[in-house]
Amino acid sequence: MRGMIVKTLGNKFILRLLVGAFCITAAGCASTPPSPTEIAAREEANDPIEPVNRSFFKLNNAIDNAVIEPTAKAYRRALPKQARDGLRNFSRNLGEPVTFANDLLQLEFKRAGVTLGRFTINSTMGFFGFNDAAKSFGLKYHNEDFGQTLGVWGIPEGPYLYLPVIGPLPPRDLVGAIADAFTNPLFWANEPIIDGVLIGSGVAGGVDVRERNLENLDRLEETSVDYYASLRSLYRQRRNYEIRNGENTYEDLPDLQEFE
Amino acid sequence: MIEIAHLDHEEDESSSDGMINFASEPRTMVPRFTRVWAALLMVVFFSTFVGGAAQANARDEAAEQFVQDLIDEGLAILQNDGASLDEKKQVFGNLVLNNADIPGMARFTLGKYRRNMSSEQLNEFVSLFEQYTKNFYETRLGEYGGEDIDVVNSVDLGRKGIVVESQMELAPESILEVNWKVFKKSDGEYIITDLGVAGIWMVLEQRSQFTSVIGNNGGNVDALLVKLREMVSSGEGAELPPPT
Repeated sequence: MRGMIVKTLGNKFILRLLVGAFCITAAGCASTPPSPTEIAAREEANDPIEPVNRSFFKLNNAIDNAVIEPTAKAYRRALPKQARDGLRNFSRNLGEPVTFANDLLQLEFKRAGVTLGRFTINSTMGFFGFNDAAKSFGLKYHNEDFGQTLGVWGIPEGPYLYLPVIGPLPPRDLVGAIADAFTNPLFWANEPIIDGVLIGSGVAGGVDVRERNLENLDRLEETSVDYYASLRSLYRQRRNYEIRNGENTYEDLPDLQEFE
Repeated sequence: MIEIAHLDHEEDESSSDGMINFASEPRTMVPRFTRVWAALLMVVFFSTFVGGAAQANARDEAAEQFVQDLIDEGLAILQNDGASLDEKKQVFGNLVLNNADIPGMARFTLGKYRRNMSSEQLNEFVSLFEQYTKNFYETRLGEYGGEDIDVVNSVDLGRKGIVVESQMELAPESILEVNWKVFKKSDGEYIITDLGVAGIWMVLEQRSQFTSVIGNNGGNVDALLVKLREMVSSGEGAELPPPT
């Protein structure tokens, strides 16, 4: 029961943030009506609420500068690479049930087998998942989520959506993220300790990802003329790549000889 | 199977179209063998079509060789112990420029806005893009740890060019896919038109940035030129104020 309260409180907090930020930006945007060219550009980029998204992006950059980036740097200083890898393994292992479910939903039975094998080996031999022992059995990590499953089923991503704290999460992936939260059996454990571990591993996983991208993101920001649009393109291209499970199909590649 | 089912469906549609007057007649009006024959024809047509597509997906070994040579040349530059980092960057940057279709890539990144540009603007843009690209790859050179990159495959996309697939071994069991979009010029020489790292194509990403800057400035191409000038003049590791 207490677990549910923690979750509800957590969700309420996020909801408040969302609503608050939305009100601020909606008020901010209402004063400047966009020009037809701007509207056309937003439509072309499939980003109809671009000003709202951009203000969240700005907000997240501020949060990143103030909290997340310094935390990631401290995390890097405090823990050696091996320990960081261990934490990442632990966090990934907790996500394997979700990957397994989505492997099945995508009818990827071989990959489901790999995930199941990984979860079994890593949770036992791998010391609660801290050690990726399954890798030496040739079972390589992959990640699946319900957003990808929906993509495999042919559901388009929908208009771009960038959320406070969370970042890019267009409708398809937003629905996916919510579904995945409920798919995880640990979510239903209703044990405060497990809730704590889940939340902690989620936060640690986020910090870990940020740590691994400290240099990449700096470089990207330096070399971008429009950092927001750059990340939007990266997100979409990367998601499509994940949906294809890294397999190369080039049908969607544009014809460079055509400039439309 | 799916194709055939699909074709059957198409055939049904076309036969009902052709028989508007007999719409209420049962379909057995069309002799069975005609239907079978039509289906067979469709299958033949389809298999040639698929065969054609398969042919278009053939490998291009000359393109693979071109990319592998380019990679080897790049590695040789990086591993030249006699040269300073700055010298290496210079030589490497030139290697990129000599083998990439800079004007073609530049025009592509403008999307529909290219049509709004005067030839002066376009010329300036192409030369800014050239410098921007050179800086971009020079900046990233320092991060490269000298890992091996091996060409593994290629896919001929016909009109769209050729994709040469290569793999960089970051660590045992950890491979980074690096794909090269290559175009065969009329003189038979190859030229690079895009680089895809782990599923992310650089020129596509640049187009989304550039068109976004222009679009958000009321379609004014000068807004992009101003930004690029700033970026290029500040050179390597350009520090820009955060985007607004």
